[in-house]
Amino acid sequence: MPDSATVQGGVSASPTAADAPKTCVLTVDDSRTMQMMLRNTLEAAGYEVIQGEDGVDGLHVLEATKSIPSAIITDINMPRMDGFGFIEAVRKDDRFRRIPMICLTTEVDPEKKKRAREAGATGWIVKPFNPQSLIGAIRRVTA
Amino acid sequence: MASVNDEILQIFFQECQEQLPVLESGLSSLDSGDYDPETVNAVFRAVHSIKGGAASFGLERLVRFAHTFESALDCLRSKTVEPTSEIVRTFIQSMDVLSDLVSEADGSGEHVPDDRIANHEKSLLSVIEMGGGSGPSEIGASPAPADFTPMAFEGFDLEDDLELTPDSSGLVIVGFRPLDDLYRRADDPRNILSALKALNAEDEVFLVECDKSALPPLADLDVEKSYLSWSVTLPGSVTDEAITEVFDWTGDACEMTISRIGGDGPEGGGAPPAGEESAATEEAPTVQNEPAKPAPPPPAPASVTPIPVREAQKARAPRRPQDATIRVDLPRIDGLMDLVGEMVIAMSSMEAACSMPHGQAREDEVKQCLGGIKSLTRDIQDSVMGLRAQPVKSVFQRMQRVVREASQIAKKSIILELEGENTEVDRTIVEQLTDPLTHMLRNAVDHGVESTEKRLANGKPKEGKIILSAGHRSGRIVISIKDDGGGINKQRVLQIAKEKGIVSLDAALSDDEINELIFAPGFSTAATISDLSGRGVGMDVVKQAIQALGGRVSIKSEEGVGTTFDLSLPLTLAVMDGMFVECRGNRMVVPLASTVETMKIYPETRINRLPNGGMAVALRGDFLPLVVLGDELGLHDPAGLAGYDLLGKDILVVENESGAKAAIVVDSIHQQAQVVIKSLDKNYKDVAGVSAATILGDGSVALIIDVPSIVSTVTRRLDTRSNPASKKRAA
Repeated sequence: MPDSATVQGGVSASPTAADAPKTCVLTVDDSRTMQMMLRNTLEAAGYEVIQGEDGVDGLHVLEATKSIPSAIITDINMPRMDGFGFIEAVRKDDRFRRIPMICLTTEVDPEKKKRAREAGATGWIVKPFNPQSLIGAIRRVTA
Repeated sequence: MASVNDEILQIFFQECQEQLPVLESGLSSLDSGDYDPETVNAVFRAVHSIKGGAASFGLERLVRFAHTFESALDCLRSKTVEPTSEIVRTFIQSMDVLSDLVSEADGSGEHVPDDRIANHEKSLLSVIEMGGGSGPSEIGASPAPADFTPMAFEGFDLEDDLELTPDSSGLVIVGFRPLDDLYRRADDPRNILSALKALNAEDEVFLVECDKSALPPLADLDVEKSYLSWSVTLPGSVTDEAITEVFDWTGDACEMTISRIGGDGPEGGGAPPAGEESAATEEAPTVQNEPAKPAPPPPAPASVTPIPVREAQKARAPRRPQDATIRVDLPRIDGLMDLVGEMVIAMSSMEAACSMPHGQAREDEVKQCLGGIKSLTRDIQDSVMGLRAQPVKSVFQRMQRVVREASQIAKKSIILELEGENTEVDRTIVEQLTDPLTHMLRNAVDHGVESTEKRLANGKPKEGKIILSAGHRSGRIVISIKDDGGGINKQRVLQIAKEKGIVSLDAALSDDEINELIFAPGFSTAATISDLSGRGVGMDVVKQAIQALGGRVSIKSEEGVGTTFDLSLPLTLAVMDGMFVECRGNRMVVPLASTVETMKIYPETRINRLPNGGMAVALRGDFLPLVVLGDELGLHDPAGLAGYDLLGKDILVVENESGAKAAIVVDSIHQQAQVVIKSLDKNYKDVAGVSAATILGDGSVALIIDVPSIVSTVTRRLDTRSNPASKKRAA
């Protein structure tokens, strides 16, 4: 990396989604509808998708997966272990704490956002999501 | 692509169908005084989940109501309101509205009137106010959430959110220094840099400088700590708001300043952050922003976009085909897999046995293998049936609402108790139970349970009780609806039946027969047609629906104590146990469920010929109508009708669902076996006296006798009334 340089102007478009091997994204949500939409959106953009149905399951999936995800999208309201608990648990684990985690929720309450930040969330997307923006966000955090 | 969306929409509706019962049972336990926080959470999540999904599909009416509902439930969750029975009732009513809105959205229900929604919304709002809130946040507050923007992503700015002022002169310098916390959140300054870069839509100026002055020697470097700071120069046209938005999520994990140089762009405030001063100096190291991969252009419209729901609805049939998928517990599939494995082994033993030299040993071995395969086949069949089995819970819980609404209209206070709701039965049957049960429960509320005054006058508790229970009984499922009402008023039933010409005026009927009358077409005891059950559908329709499922309905009633309806249903519609019989050269099947006993005709068997051409046979002091199956079905008898010798023939005593018996004469009775039911209607055409067909081991077809229709023909021939009466007369 050059010690000193300045960049001016735009840089060409990023590599396409078809790049191999695929980038893996973990989505954690107790709604099958949401999971299905996330899977469709992410797979269409060329990501490999693994899924967990709540925080506890998400941790299991994370533990069992061969491909460590490059990003995690998690719901907040979930049975057994909610999004906050899930984020905290992931952040405590040395293997996974560097993974960007984005909350995907209908919540807009600033208190909840604050809790998510404190837990270690990397971003916050309000449901319903716009596929382009979601992919844009994932691209940025996995870039 | 539409199909993918449609598929997800279907999943959403399926999910609603799963969430609503969760909501129902949660609210029921709240209603019964169980304030477990987990119950409250489950209830909240159910509504939340429906709202989340609905928002993705732009189902605005549903979203808005669910949002208000959710906000009200949140008060319960945060304990700002107490779950008084009044509030729980509000929730229960709102649940009904929510459920109707789901039906409206999936096209299976009618349009929910706006004022009804508004009324319930108002009650929910009053709950929220009680909890100290002023109304639901955001969504609910705006009357028409048309501007319910799909997605706002915080943490990174979106290009669409850009607000560029026309004035592009001057520069704006953004200085930021991430705190350790930013890294703890697995975020990266790179993300901020690329978001800032995205603000520079016109590719005008984008200058990034990095200040490494705080960087310690490598040996002292703590990788968890933040040492770098950046300053980013952007065109002056970029507004402060746009920049602040970039830092919206990370603002608390960064020190950030905005300053402007020249131009007449908006003045930004704030001094450069500490440690940032040197950034402006020329020798300050700057870093190319290459590590931050440039933000890609938005991908071509992805496959999933919020569906324009109107169109999706238009494309669908008025009533969506009942969910074509089922969810099965993994252990069940595993169990089936084990059985299939055993079957493979059994087949290879069979092959081994077949290759043995001819003789008794081979014979025995083959027989033994066959026995094993037979029992495995039965197990596999049971196991596959198990895959289709579903607890009746889903239907039972829906009945809570039926009773609730019905008792409201009837102004009676009634509780419905559910028992055995985990009893499993084939899903086809579960699905088709809703209508008959709804009707029977409405009937129980309307006619079964007495009015409050009457109950009190009779020394009964004010609150009426209906118990809906399910259980397995000898290979069938029995569902009973038991009320603690006044029982069937037999005098009145008989009188009405006579008035309506259902029975002759001089008919003398047994108690059971009188009870049966309420199933007669066109019968209604209600003096006035009430809102509830008097909708032109009588109990005869219920009976037909249950019969169509291969079931039977029976009534037990005790005056002053209550009435019980028992529905006995087969566990599956696909397979049944049958008795193979020979009838004039044809092999036929009589369902075992309707066979009571078998006997042979000996010379001493008493058969009486009746003046109307019918016959009756004496059996242990009773006379049963006798019918020759071959004649009944119009099968050609080589010996001619008159010459048909009953002697030595076999008799099957059969019974219909109401207990009327008849004796059917067949040439001979063979073995009893399980048969797979194939619809005759679908493959050929409807044939009187035959309910379906089955395929035999040799590939030929055997007809399955429609016992109820034979019994009704034959009993009508003897007497217009059902069997026991004729029995009395014959005796």
